Amino acid sequence: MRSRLFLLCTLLVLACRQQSPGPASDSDHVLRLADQDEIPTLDPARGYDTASWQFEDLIFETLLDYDDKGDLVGEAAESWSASADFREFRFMLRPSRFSHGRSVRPGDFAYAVRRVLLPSTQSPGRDFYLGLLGARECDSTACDVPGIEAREPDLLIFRLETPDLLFLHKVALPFAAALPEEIVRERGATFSRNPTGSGPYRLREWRAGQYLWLEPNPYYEGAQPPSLAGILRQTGVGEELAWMQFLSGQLDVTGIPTADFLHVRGDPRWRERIHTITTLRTQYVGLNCSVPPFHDRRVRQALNYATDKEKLVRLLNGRAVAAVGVVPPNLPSYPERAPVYPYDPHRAEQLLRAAGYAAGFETTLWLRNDPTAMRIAQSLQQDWLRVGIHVKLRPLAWGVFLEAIREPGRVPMFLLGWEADFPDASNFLDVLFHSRQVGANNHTEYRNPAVDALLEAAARELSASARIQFLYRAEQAIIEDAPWIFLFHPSTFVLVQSRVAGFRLHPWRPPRVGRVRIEITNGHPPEPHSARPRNASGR
Amino acid sequence: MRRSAPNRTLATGIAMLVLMLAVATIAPVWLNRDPLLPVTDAIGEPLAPQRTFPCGTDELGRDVCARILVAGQVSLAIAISATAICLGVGVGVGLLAGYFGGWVDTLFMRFTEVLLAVPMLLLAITLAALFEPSPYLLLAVIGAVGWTPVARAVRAEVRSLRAREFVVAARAIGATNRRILGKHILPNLRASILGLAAVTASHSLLIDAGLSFIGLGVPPPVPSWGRMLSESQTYYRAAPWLMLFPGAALSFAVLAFQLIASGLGRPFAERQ
Repeated sequence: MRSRLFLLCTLLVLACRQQSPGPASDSDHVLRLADQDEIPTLDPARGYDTASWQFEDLIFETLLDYDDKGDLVGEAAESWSASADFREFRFMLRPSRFSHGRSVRPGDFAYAVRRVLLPSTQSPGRDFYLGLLGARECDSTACDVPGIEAREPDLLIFRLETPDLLFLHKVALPFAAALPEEIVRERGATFSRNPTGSGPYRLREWRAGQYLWLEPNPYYEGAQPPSLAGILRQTGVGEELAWMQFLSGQLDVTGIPTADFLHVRGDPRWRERIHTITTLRTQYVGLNCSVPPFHDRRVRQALNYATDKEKLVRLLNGRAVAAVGVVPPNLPSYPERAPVYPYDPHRAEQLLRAAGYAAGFETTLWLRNDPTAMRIAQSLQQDWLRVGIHVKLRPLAWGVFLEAIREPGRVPMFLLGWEADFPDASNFLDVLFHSRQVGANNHTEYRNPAVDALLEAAARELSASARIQFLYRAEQAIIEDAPWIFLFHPSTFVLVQSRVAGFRLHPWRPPRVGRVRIEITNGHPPEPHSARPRNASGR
Repeated sequence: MRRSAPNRTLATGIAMLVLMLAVATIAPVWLNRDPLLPVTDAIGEPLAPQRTFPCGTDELGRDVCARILVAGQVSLAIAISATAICLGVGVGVGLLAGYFGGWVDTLFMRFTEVLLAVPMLLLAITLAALFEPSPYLLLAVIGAVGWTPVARAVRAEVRSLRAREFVVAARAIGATNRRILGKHILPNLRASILGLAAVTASHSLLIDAGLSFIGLGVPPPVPSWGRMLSESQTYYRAAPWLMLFPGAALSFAVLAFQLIASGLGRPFAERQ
């Protein structure tokens, strides 16, 4: 009997442990987040996705960062200067320390950039720093980049082969965050799961597939001291489950499920707590200019006229802005543009007739197998059917889809989006439409020497306003050629609990959750108290 | 000789099937609504069931009734075709293995067991990754694995029949194997085959719905019950009718086939 009782108790304890959603915490001042997917990596050289960047931003420090308005401000750098020819950049560092106590030196930033440049690191950010003097000579045996000079105790100099107006944005990317070389070498491949940085938070525990738990970095001396006792991010929580957890007060920040969006937006209880921003993203249908019938510009233009973008915006419950071109409307200092392709099925039919497709044609739209993408694709199918274009859908897993569209001439049309790394039109136009990018990011195989010339002129130009004019003219030529169907720019909508103060969304970076505060007042609101992170034994 | 009681289960199943086929054939014509195009301006906000749209509309403004009916035609056509494939292969293999025994039996049955061990879902995902999802691919997937239970059941039945006196007598007077199989054994399998057909059809419907649910079924915009269920997941609280009606239609169809199978199984059991 005794042994049975013991067994029962053991089973109960085990059951309680398994039900526990997160780690032990005795503080209400822990910000609770959740997401479906695991964070791919916390190695700044390897991460190139929203989830990785959100937490790298908390653990590591870059020389520069963006404020809420999107202007560059110093993070690890106290001051900085660029030479008149934009080939030399100097950064004076402020004192700071890694989370294991050692002071940050200029050499730690130099090491991080050299590590990104090493081919063996396989960093997706390598291209950003290839303009540094000697960076292209970097190989697996030696990476002594003469373009990076670290002068102890606090001066860091970058020298470039050619002028680069965007270099300051590039050092604000997490790829260039300071790394403690001795720890990176010691931990090797495990550094990505057990990182050490000089940001306001440090890793406390990361259980794969369960949760990630950050705590304040006790040595942090920067301008954004940690305001939270911790940040807990659960993994494997889908949109619907996250929504239910939020309603029951177990989460502090969540997205809003499509089906509940209109009801939530109209509810006065939630209205004050919704945060929204139009992101620097463009959703589009790429038309392969080397594949018939899309080799004919008139067909591509016809598809643009045949697409009801406002209907797509309604389908997304208004969570998007209809696109008039490639570049999103909220890009700082970029000119406004008028719509070139209004919804006009009649004009589309005329163009199709002129191109010799009066009876329409059949083709296949490739896309990611994702509920929202499928919904958008079915709306497009409806629109195009009205002008006689029969489109089959080919939904694929994300990796397979990306591989397919990179293969020249294989995919006639595809549904995809692009998000800017930094706020500059060249990050859309040069990366996606220059002919040298065919086989890399120019999946539509669009080639226009006039556009190439304008983009190259913009890259050489040192005057910001003249540069924008070159980019604007290039975009106008691209819109005229219509290698894309310009669909919309998605807006992000996030709901936060009333106890969360100071939450801000950023147009091109994940939300800066490390800067929020938790304000608890007695008796109100009720949900945070009932939702204290439960400890490991499920108490 | 005693007349057996009227088989109410079978009659109910057949009545449900006939009703379903009639509705799926006639109603779309009568309803006269395109299941692919919007019938309302309410995009992004499904309309609840009402007089004009008895099953409501979906987030793309399409009539749910029209979609369920067309999906029914597609699903029933796939289920019936898949059943024909499964019966064709399964009965053939079962007949040969059960009648000839020996190495023929060993060869066919081991092959059947190998196929039974292949996980259906993994096979479907692999095939869908290699080929474009289409009704033919669905038929190939269901047919590739659906015949194995038929083959096993038929083999067991044939092994019992081949030892019966009428088969021994036929063999004694010099009847050929072909004649024995065609004239003596196959007609005695009729009731079993009909029962197996009904069971296979109901399984095929469920497999079709399952594969469509995970996006491996008939590609959109052609509606299918499984994909309608899958697409309505997001709206299960805000618009439950999007899940309710296709779910009910699928359950009705599966129940009809199961009742027929159950009804057909009874006379067979009584005779035994």
